Parts: sequence; structure tokens; C-alpha cells
Amino acid sequence: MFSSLAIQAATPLYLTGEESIRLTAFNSATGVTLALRGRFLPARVSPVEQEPVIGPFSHELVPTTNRAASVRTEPLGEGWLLDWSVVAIAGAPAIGQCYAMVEVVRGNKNAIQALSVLGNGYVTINKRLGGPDVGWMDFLDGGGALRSIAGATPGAGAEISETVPTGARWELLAGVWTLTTSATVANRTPRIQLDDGTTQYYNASSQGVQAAGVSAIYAFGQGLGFQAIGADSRSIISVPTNLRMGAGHRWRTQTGLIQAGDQYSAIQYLVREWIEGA
Amino acid sequence: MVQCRTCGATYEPVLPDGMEYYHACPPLSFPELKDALDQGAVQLTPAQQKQLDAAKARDAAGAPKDGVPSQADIVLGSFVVERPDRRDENVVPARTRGDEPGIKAIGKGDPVPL
Repeated sequence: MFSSLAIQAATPLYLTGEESIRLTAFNSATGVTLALRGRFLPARVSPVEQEPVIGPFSHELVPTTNRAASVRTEPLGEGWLLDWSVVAIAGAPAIGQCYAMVEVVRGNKNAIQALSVLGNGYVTINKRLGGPDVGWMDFLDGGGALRSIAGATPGAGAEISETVPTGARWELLAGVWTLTTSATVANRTPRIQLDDGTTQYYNASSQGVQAAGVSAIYAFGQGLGFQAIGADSRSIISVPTNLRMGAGHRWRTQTGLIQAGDQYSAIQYLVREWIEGA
Repeated sequence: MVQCRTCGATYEPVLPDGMEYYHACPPLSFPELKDALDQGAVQLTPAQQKQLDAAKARDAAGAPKDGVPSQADIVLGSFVVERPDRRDENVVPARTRGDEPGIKAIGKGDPVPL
């Protein structure tokens, strides 16, 4: 039988009893529960104590869905952290939606000091994060979560504006909208603009105009060219390839000669999303 | 489905995939900006005002032809001016871990259920 009496720390995962293990999660998916599980071998600190046995531990964390940090800190006592893992036991987060970080920290209430990071990365129902042999994954690594989003339908005469949520990073892949123009005579020119929340850094126009009393469908996407509205009332606009937009950035329309009765509708777009972890 | 009290946009707060949707009001469109300026509800920045004055001077020097927008309208349509009382449901980034951050801007209040 393995004796833990007076042995030297065999791994760097020896805890003095003043340290705790901390799970931090940044999550956007609904209904997620994470479990931090592992095995711990308590130290035998006195000859009169019974030989300690390896015990499992399991601590659950229900992270918020707003991509802000959710934390659970648990003391384990004095001994050896033999192994650990984090897995989603409820919900169905995709890669890019639930990022977990496991650390050794000192203290477990106020004034917690992080001592070391044991591992970090995205977790799903099937993809665990675990150690001691851990695969590290940064916030912006991987293919991201593919999300098809129904945008807000603006009021009449207003423009489309979609904002990258706090804590998220987007790559805008493709999208569509419909513009129905009122009877007021004017040649509208829909443009797509990307901005940082204030200042635009991309501005592309549909190659042509949309007259009064017409309903037309506009598509945009990476790698596309431009196409003016044809007989089928469809138009194409290009957006940059591999451009990642930070939290607070927007994609929106700015329509030359838009009229008060013009209406944007049926807004749907596809993004890759990561947790920014900022 | 809900409707924003500030901008009138309609949206689903929870998308079909279960993800939360955080609405943020768009900047004023061209006709909205014209109305807001007429009503004194917004002010242009000094730089924008200078640009607009120059465009009006060009219009005064030579009236636009029929069907051609005025220089002032073209310039005004290029401005990005945020609407008064804009709502932004995105959360304020937490300064410390474990905080429960509020939304960035309440606007005219919670949206109206439709």
C-alpha cells in the first residue's frame, strides 16, 4: 500500500491546505452546468493518523450566460491533487461558447491570490478539459461556435444595426436582409458598414440603386463580389474575409436617401463566435 | 417578440437556438437625423456642423438638379449620430470576477412584449 507519511511531494500538485482549486467559466450557452471533478490524496501528517485514502471530489458550477466570469473556489485540504477534469454535465455548449479555467489559488474567500493555472480551454458535453496532461486552448483558438442569428427588425425608416455582445468576438460570415421601399420617389443605396462602436472601418455599397415601391433581397458574404439589383430583385455585397470583430463592434446598414416609410426586415446572419475573455 | 421603447425595433430576446439576444439601438437614420435636428433633439459635433455648413454653401452656390440629392443631404446621410436615450442591452464588462454586471444603457425602459 502506498504510504503518504513523510514522503516528499511527488508532483507540483501538492497543496499545503492553504490553497484551493478554482474553476472560472465564461459562458454564453443556456442551461449549462459544469462539473469540476478529480481525485485527491490527503497527506498523513501524524503517525497516529490512519493511512489516508484517495478520495474523489466533484463540484458543480452553473455559469451565467452573459460571458462574464463565473467562479467556484473549493479548498481540498493538505495533500496531492492527482488528477482533475472539467466537463459540461448539462446544456449543450459548442466549442466557442463555454471556456473554463482551473487554477490553484491561495485562500478561498476574500483577497484570493492566483498561484498557478492548471489548464484552460473550451468544454462541451463530450470534450473535457483535464489534467495533469492538459491540452491548452486559448480563448480565440479553434473554429468558434457557428451561430445563425435573427437580427432585430428596425422601425420604419431606421437602419439595421447588430452589435457584437460584451465578451464575444465575431467573424461575420454571411447574411441577408430585405428592404422594402415606400412610394416616396428616391433612389436608395444600401451600404453595409462595420464600425468599432463609433468609427467605421469598412463601408461597401450595393452596386446600384433601389427605386420607390420595390422589395429587394440583399445578401452579403465573405469572398463574394458585388452585384446590382437585377430583374430578380436581388443584390450582393461583399464583406471582408477573416475579419474578427471585437465586443461592441457593429455591422449595420447606412442607406443613401432612405425614406421615413422604408422598411428593413427578414434580417438573418451567420457568425463564428468566440469568448473574448477580456 | 418584444419592441424597443426607444427605436421601435422588434426582436426575440431569446433566439431559437436558446442564445440570448442583446438589442442595441441603431444610430439615427437619415430621415430620423433630419427630424431630430429640426426638433433640437440632437446636436452635431463641431466637425460635423462645419462639414454640413460647407455642403449647404455648395448647394447655395448651385442648386442641385431634379432628382439629385442636395450636398447637404448627402453629407447628413453620411453622419453617424447615436439616438437620444438609446438602449443597449449588452452587459457592462465586469471589473472583477463574480460581479453581476448591469446593461450598458436602459434607454426608455424595458421593451414592450408583443
